Amino acid sequence: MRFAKPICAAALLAAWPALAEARRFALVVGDTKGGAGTRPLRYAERDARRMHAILTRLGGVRPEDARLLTAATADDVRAALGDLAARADQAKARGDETVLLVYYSGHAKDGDLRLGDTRMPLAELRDALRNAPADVRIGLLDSCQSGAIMRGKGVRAAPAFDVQQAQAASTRPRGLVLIASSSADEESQESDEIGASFFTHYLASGLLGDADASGDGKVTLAEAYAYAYARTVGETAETRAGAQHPVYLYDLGGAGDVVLTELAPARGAMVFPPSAEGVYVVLDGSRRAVAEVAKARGDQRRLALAPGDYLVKKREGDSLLVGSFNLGDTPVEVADGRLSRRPLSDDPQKGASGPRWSVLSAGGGQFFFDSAARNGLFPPAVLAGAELGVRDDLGHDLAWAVDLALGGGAATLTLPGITNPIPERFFELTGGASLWRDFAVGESWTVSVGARVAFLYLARTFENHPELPSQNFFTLTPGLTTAVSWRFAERWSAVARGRLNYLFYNVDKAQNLGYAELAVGVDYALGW
Amino acid sequence: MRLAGKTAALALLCACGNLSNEDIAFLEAIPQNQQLHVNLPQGSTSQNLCAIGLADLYANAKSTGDSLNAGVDAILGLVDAIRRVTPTSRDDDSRTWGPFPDHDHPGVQIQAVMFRELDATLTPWRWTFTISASRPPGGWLPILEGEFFRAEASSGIGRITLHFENSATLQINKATDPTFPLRVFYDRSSDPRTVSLDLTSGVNAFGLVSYDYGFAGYADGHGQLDYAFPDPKSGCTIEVTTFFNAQGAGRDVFRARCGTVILGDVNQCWDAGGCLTYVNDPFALTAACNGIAPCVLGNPASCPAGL
Repeated sequence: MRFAKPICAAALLAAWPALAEARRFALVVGDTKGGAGTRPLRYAERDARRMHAILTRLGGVRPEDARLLTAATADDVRAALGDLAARADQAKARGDETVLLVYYSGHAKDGDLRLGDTRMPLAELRDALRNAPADVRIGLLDSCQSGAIMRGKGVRAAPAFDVQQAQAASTRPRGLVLIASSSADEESQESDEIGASFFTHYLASGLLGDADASGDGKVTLAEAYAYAYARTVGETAETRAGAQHPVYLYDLGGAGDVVLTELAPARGAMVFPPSAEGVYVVLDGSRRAVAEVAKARGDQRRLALAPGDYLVKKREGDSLLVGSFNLGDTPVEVADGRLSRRPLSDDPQKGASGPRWSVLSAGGGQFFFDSAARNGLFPPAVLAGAELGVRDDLGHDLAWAVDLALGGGAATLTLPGITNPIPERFFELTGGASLWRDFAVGESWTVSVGARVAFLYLARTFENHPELPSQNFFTLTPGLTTAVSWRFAERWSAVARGRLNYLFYNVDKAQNLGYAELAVGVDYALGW
Repeated sequence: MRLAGKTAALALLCACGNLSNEDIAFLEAIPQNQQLHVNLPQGSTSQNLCAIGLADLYANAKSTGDSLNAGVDAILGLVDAIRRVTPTSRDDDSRTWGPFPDHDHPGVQIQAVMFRELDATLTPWRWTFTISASRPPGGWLPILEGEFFRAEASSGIGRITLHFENSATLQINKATDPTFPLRVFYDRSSDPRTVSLDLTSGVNAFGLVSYDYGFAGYADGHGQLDYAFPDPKSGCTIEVTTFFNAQGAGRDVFRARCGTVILGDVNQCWDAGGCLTYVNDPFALTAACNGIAPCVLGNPASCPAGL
């Protein structure tokens, strides 16, 4: 075990408010760009989407009470925060207990949240939360130097909250809790291996169930913080940037803890039995980590994941234990006996697993831009072919592929002074090598942009004119390629692809020609 | 930039092939064998019994047509060889094939050059085509010269001259080849379409006597053939003008040229079955006259109308 889970006092406490009793509001913000002087983050938006999904699915936040902002400006955040505060005020006026939670993943620097080219002072956010009308206000900040939001007394860089034990219902907590992923002088780190920031990944894993130290099916704020603190510090200790220490400001009056997620109402679950021991990483269909379970032998752990296909891996010595699981409405037990042993080189996790192979089968057309070239020489053609692609081989989100396509069609050749157009049939063979970069857009969509060098062989015959010889042409064509893919099943994606190519034609006369290829197809991911 | 330059250079080196619309334009201007062939109606199955006799002159016309076609094939055979070869060099308005070594004649080089001229609308209107041969260190001699008008031979006008005299000079001729220039003229621009083979520069080529052979074929199938053949019995040359309809019935007028003496005109008509229906032969040159002159057989009203 690389970390020791802190013993959390909250585990023994009555949790409050229960989800069913409180009206909860959540503002979730993710922004990869921080304007001048910052490098784009890779996973801030994904982190935000994960948190939004968890809060609306397990956190008792109604969809209409949740706001997810990506690539937003500071004014967008202010407006959304004001809107939710107003709704909380209305709910409170109706007698509801209210909780307002703000989550932010993005850049922070020099005391400001950096939202693209706009800024929002941390002090402004802190004051907005402090003054919001909700009974409990929670700020979760995952950004560099985010600890700077906690100026003054009460800031702790401790592994767990000091939560007072509830004495009576009238002592329900009211006030403000701020949790930052790093202290005021630390960087918050992202991990390509897990495809997220360390802090959010472990916070999310905890909220999904691994932080439920009490085993009561509820993850409280204290449990989640304690879990995220321990895992973040432990996992960043050996990184180049050094250990990252989450901090908190706990300013709740009354007693008891705040429940952030309830695991019991969730459909289906992944259950790790008492015999399971070690760190289990749960990957989704795109081989990105969605949760981790770090457990000791003896207790049972339950992850409230959304229904779907998952892969679970666990490192054991110099090998991996890997297994596929389909979550439906009923719990699925994950025991070591259901995992198969693989060499470490077969690590399925994106970014750490080496190359991932896939086969794309596609059909489409080819169209030359020059009308004179389309006249018999390079007529519009129908093409069908396959592409063998390798992702994450040359680098993260980089992919290369080789492809081959066959096609052809019928056309006519019109020549000056020739009475009747000359019919022709043509055959085309093209193949190439591509290099591109994938840009994830949400969980299922990917946009790819890259370059390709291909060969093109074209031959034509004039069936009704036996006196005319068959002709052919061969050349290399450099070009650009772009694609949009949508993953609709664990291994399957629908792909729409476009290419722009340059072709040098020099038989009749030297010509620089351009042509486009458009295709749609289905991509199948090979192996894990 | 260096990478882009290398890529462009690689593309340049790899761009190869014979995919060319302009090559097709050049080839479409060259006439094909069948476009210059003499086509005579074959008529119905020959009757064994004819009231007057068989129209043996029309049978001669058909065999003469076959000989003319063989001559055209021999001429255009040289051109057809070019169709199968990708041009060696291309300019905007010319194509060059070769020089290539002549595998049938060691030491001989052959090349073909074709030029075109465009009108104001950039439509080709005139083409010149020359196949030359050389036996180094000797210079190039034209073996075949052609001049074609219009963009496509199927509706064009042109002439082709086969220079047998140069083939003989270069010693690349066959023993049976004539040794004088042979010319073909054609006009497919209107109805009738005409082809003529001028053998007046010499004697006896392709089994034909020296004559200006001419054929006119109309779209509806009727036509005219002017031809000549030797009559071994009389030692004269029979010069015939034949008119025929699409069904193979026809009439002819022929003369017998015996040295400086011309005997004529003899008129004959026949039906689609190849039987004579009318003979007016003042010299009894027609076999059916049995040597009795003057000879009038049949009824002139039986001659096909409109010819």
